[in-house]
Amino acid sequence: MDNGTSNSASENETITLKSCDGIEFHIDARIANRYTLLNNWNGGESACIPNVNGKVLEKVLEWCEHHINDPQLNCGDDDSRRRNTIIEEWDENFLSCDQDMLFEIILAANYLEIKPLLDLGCKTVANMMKSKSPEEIRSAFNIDNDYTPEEEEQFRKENEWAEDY
Amino acid sequence: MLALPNECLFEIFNNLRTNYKRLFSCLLVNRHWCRIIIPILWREPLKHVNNRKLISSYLLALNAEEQALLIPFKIILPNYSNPLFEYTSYTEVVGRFLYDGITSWLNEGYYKPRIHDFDERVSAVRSSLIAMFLRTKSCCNHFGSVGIKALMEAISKFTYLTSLKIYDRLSSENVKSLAEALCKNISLTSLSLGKISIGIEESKALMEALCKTTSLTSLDLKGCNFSTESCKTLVKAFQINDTITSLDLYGVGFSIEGGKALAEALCMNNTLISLNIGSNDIDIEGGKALAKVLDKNTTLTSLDLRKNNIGIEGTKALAKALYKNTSLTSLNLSNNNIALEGIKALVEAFYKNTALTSLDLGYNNIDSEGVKALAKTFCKNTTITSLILNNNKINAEGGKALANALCMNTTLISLDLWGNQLESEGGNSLAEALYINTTLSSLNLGINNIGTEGAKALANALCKNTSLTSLCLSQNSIDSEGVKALAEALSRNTTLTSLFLSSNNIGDEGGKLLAKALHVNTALNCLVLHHANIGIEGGKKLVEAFHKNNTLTSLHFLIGNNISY
Repeated sequence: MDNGTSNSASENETITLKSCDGIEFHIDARIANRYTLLNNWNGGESACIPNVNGKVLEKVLEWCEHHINDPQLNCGDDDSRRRNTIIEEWDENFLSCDQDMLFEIILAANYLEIKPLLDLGCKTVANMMKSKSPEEIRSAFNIDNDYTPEEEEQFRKENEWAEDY
Repeated sequence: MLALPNECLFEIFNNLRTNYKRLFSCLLVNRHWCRIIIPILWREPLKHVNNRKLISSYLLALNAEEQALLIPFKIILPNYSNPLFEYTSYTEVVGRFLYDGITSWLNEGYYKPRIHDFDERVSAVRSSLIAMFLRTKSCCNHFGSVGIKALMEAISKFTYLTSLKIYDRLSSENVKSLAEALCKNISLTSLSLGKISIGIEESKALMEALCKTTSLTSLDLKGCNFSTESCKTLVKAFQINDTITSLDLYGVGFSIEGGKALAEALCMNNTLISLNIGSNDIDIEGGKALAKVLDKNTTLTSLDLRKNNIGIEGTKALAKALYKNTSLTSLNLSNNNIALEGIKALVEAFYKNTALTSLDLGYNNIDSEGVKALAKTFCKNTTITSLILNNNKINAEGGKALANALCMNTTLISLDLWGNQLESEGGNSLAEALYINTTLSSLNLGINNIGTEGAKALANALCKNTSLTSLCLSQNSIDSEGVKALAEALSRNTTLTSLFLSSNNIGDEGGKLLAKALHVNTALNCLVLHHANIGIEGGKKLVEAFHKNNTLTSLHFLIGNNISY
């Protein structure tokens, strides 16, 4: 991930990011180094982020800046991190935005390969399912039920063991 | 709802993976979510859940033979319609709750508790379920101590189990009961054990089972941990066993003594066809002992000795054995410090040997002197079809020698030179050989600093050559100009089916040129372009071309390029 030139950025360096709708952001070059988001950034002073609009990119960069001094996690820590279901207060406030924005952030984090933010977003959505019935989940996320009644009944029966745990 | 890609939905639900109640609610939301959740939900419930309904659902998957096991006990199975998913195929862990779940299933609703043959009933249900897991997954993982016991019962009882892979770390007791089960079993043909420690007792039990088995043909002990004594004990089985044709002992810690003992046993074996004893430090003496086996043996066709430090002397002994041996067709001597003298001894052998078709000499520090000696025999050799020389020190001069050999050789089909130092000059020489040679079908030149010049020469050769089907030029500092030449070659060439160009600076323009060539080319079915600095435009054109082209079946460029998702 960190190879050659992109490793050498110091605290004062900034680079310019451009969202797909042309909004420019000046960010600490260390952020670019930290995440492969800037695969697009080949050591130059500016980079274009297609597929992410200014509104979302602003949120994503806000998160990155807040977490700039977090210890870096190794790939091997994947599992241990996921098991930790506690979300820090700052992150919780940060993600208590409207649902569309939350999903946009997840999409952007996935696209830009910002794994900790992706995990955080997914954890937040997972928490939103808490003590909701299937019907309540459908209305919360505006999803249509495409099961036939017979099919739904059979799935219920075959998996009903899970209901007790 | 804004549509999230499947990988994000998977991440979301994976957060809930042991929160079965919440997964259950999500599963009933719609079909799309259901498809993503079922594999997560059914991955390891037996590790966490003691539930008779779960056992009910598993029992639906029993086939007739497994059900038959329950008939003597008049156990009535649930009679739902066929399950909507093959749930059992997602189960990776058969944990400690299998027993508890069965007990609770037998007690509640279907049977009065504690009838006289209750334990036998539990055991019958357990055996039938374990057999079903073995059948639907064809390998078993994490059975835990209770599961392993039932597994052994299943091995002794069922005759349709032919293949078994155990990844669990078996205890000493487990290995012994497995050995006992093997003595009774008459159907198992293939057995593979995870990385377990095999002490003297376990080794003895296994050895006895191997002497008795009448069905086992393939044994994989890769990565197990033997002591010198346990090696010596196990290998005795191969003096007697006449069923096993394939034996994998990669990295089991045989060392010199173990190697010698194995060789001694193999002198009396006429069954083994394929032997992997790589990464065992059998050293010079072990190599010499195995060479003696090759003097007499007429059944062994494949011998993998990689990473054993057999050195010059070991190689010389093997080379001598090859003078007369007429059965060995495949020999792997990679990573063995065979040095120039070793090469010279092998070269002498190749003038006489008429059986060997496949040879791996990778990671042996072979320099231009060594490769020149090899090249000389390949001018005439008419038996070897596959030669691997990856990660040696072959430079432009060595490349030239090989190219000369290719001009005369009419037998070699595959040549692997990955990770040498051919440079553009070496690339040029090989390109020239491709105008003349008509038999070579696969050429691997990855990581050789061939550069744009070398690529151009090869591209030109591809316009004339009609035998090469696979060419690897990954990581060779080829820029857009080199890619341009290759793209032109692709629009003319009608035989190349695979081309690997990853980790070159192809760029967006290069991507577009390749896309253009794909509109014309009708031979290529695999093109790999990872880490090639291709941008959005190039990516789009490539995808477009991929959809129009009828022969290309796999196009890989999603990793390490600057494209959108």
